[in-house]
Amino acid sequence: MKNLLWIFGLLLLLTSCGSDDDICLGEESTPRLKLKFRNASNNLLTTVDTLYVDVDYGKTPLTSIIYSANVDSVFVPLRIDESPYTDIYFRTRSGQTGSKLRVTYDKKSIYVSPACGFKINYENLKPELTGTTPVQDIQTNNTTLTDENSINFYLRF
Amino acid sequence: MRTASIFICAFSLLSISLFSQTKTEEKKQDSVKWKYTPNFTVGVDVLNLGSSFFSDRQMIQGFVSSRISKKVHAVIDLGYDNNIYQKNGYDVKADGLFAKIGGFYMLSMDPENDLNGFYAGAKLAGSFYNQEYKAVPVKGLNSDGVFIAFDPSTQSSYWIEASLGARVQVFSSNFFIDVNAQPRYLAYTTKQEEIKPMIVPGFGKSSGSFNMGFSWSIAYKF
Repeated sequence: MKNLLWIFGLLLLLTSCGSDDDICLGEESTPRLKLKFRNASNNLLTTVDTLYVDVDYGKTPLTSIIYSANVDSVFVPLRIDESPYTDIYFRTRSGQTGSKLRVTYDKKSIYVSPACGFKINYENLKPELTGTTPVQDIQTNNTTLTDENSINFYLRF
Repeated sequence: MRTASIFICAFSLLSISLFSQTKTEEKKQDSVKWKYTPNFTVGVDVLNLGSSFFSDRQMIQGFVSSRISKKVHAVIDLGYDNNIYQKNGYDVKADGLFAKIGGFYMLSMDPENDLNGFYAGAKLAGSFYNQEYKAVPVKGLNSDGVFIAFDPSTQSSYWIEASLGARVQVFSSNFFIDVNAQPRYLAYTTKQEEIKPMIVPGFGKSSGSFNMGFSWSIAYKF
């Protein structure tokens, strides 16, 4: 009789740990676009003294990703909805019109886990720059985005 | 309509269980003094039936058990479960039939009435059901409310289950109250687009492989 209670308790303990459908860890989510900066004159890696990055997620106003001093790289989450592109706006001074980077891509949905649902991987990333101040041009490095390890684009300031 | 077909199914399986037990009778007779006479107990789970009125889950289940030796009973469970899962961006619906087959062993019996007592047992279970993923979330930063929807599909899941419980006769009638807990482990499931099922009829929430079920049945011994 006493043993039975122990077995029962142990099984209750096992089942109570079973529910893990709430927590989705960050790295299992959709990867972010990784950008680094280069100096336009000598093509060396550089830091930008002040940088504002805003992204159009289909909401107004734009979502601010970063507003920071002395940045050498930036991670930009791309859109995961039906939109075939994401518009990213760069400014180095407030009040500046800035440069618009439109990234077009092909999306692929990948199932992760019950907690995370699906994530998106991007292929055939294509940058399209309008406005050459402050970003002068774009160098493409890696056109697939499946993790956050490699640099996708270099922005030349 | 559906309940009617469940009942027809339950009773046809009941007759099969009776038929199969007449064979095991011969083996048991030599080893155990207790003599097998065709017997069966039919029970309906009133706990889950009652809670159907108050929750999103509608579950009807019942069992047929037969005492095949002094301490061992064979048991077949049948049920229908209709459940939804709406959480964390998911919107899932699943409904279908499930069946379990197994046995239990009387761990301690009332000396005056050997049908009363505590028991432990094991069952194999399977569920055949329709599921519909109306929404599966897509996770990404700064973008909420993005989903993928899938067409309804037919799936099946299989699990093993232990049962721990007690059976008590109601006074000296043929009625029994049977209460048990069923810790279960999801062994195999078919998947749509590699998605792990969030709910399985008869099993319950299935995002983790372990789950626990409870039942409180009123049974009648024929």
